[in-house]
Amino acid sequence: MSYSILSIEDLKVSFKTSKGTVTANESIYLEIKEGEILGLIGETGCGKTTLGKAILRLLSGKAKLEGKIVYRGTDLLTLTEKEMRLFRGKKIGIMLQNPSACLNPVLSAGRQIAEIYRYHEGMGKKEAEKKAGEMLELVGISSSRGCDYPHQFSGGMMQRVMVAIGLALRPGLLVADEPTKGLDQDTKLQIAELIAGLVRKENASMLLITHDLELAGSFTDRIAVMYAGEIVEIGKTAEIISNPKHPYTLDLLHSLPGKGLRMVSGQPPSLVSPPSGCRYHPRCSFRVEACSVAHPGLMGPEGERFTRCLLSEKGRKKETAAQPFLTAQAAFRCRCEGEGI
Amino acid sequence: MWKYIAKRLAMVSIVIAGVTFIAFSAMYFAPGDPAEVIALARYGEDLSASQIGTLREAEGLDAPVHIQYLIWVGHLLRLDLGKSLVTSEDVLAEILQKLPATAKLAIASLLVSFLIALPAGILSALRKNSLLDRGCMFVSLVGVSIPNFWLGLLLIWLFALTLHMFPSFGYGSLKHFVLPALTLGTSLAAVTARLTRASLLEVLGQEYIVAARARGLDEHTILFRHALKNALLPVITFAGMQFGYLLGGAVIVETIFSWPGIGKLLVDSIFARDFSMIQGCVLFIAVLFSLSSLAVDILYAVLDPRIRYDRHD
Repeated sequence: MSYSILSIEDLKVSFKTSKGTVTANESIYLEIKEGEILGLIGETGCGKTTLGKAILRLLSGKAKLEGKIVYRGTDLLTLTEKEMRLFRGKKIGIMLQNPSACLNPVLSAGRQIAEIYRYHEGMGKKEAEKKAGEMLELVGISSSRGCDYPHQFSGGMMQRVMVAIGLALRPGLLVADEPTKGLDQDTKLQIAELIAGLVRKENASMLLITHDLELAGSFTDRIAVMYAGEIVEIGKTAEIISNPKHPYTLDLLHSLPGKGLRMVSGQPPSLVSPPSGCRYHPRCSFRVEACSVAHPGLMGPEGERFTRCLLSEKGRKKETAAQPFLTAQAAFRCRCEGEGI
Repeated sequence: MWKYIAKRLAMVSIVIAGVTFIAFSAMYFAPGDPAEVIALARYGEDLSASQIGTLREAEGLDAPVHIQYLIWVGHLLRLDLGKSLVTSEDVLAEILQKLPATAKLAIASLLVSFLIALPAGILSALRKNSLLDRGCMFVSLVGVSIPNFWLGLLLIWLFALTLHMFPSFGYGSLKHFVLPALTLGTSLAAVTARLTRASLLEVLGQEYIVAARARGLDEHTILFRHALKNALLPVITFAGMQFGYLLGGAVIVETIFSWPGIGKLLVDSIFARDFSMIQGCVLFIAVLFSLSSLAVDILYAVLDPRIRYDRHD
């Protein structure tokens, strides 16, 4: 059993808004092991980005964080802002979504990398610029482009600059939020390979946040599936892809081009007033009556698998009057096998 | 960069050409025969028709209008703005003699406004909705609403008449600067502070600020290295335009404080119906304004790389 570099325990992230309290993340338990790449997948608006930012406490002042986020033994939520700064960039790197918005338009790319060395390592200007140049070369950009400004780079190049920034100090953990969004297929793969390659080489860990199941399938060790602010299924990548146990994961897999391109029906739920019972039940084709009443916990492990579904096998064991669930579970299984997943 | 400056320069020349046209035609839109107007300004009442006729010929006013315009522009190109109708002094020499007083007041006012507005605007943005923010914004609302001439009179009443700290009018020592510069500077500061606050708030909400924080930078570095460089762009535009406006002479304030600048010269010429002086002043003010906006454009390019580089280089 390898040690975990990051473990999130019972995390709840909520925002007070004029429309009520939005609970973007609820009862999140998540563990990232040393050297592991964990994928976090789910629809837009399900709370993936919030979770990524919550780890580094980058959410706005309105956000309320409860629970624990432990990085190598330190609970980040108990640190002062000043102590937290030592973790940001140095121990945990993050690549936020949308590089064209994340790079300061009036500062050169090289300077935005160099300032990390100057600030964290106290390097002089020359030395920091040299290191920044090396970092650019590492991500496949000629160091001479360090004095160029963000608008002079293409989308893929900007993403490479983001990689250089995220990994500049060789952090133990990299949080990469949608690193391939908006890129064409070839560039997407190049960037993903670049990031995963560098992370593996450094023996670092990564939380890869994406809505792209294929990407998560090819580059991660384990996958956590998020729905409406909750983790609904987590397990080894191969197992999740070949044998999804949560209906939502199954529906997501079905929406892939190679698997029928069937959209997940219905709209993602509101996080202000999430559905009663299981949050997925209004859109779930296997729902039974109990699903609208009972809110399932994350059940397991079955091997390394946890599932938040009343119909999962663990759930079945817990529920004694299981007949209706059994039937539905059987139907669910049949469908999975029928689809050849 | 040079291409950009050349482009802006070309634009400025077009604007200035337009201004010469307007300044020239203004003479013709003024009621009455230009020759009569000139004669009236120069010799006073009781003119015979033959006197006016001689003057018309002497001044070239009998030629067709477009020829007159071309001749006038020809003079302008040789920096000859003509002579005052009243004093027969050279117009340009007269204006240039008044320029230092106006320029010094403009710089002093701008300094005063920055000294007040930048700290107030930045602190307000950083402590958004705090008591400090509300206080600053209330004061600046008052500042925006108070007309210059009234503020000037209030300052004269308080500092000159009641406290006897500063002279109420005149030009010369540093003390003379205080009241007019405060009058102009504070009203300018009111707008600048609001603009700084709004602009900084917008920038602080940008994703690259979060990204800078994500690199572990402290708030001080983020504010001074990342935020202000972006946030001050609109402030610089505004201040630059105001500076151009101040260089043209703050007409009311210069009059209140008897400041021997271009604004006062303009007002005096209007009262004296000294048309060539008015024309010269208007032209000079317009050119100064265009040049200061050119300077702002160049400064903008220095600060913002997106403007500095053309798309294709």
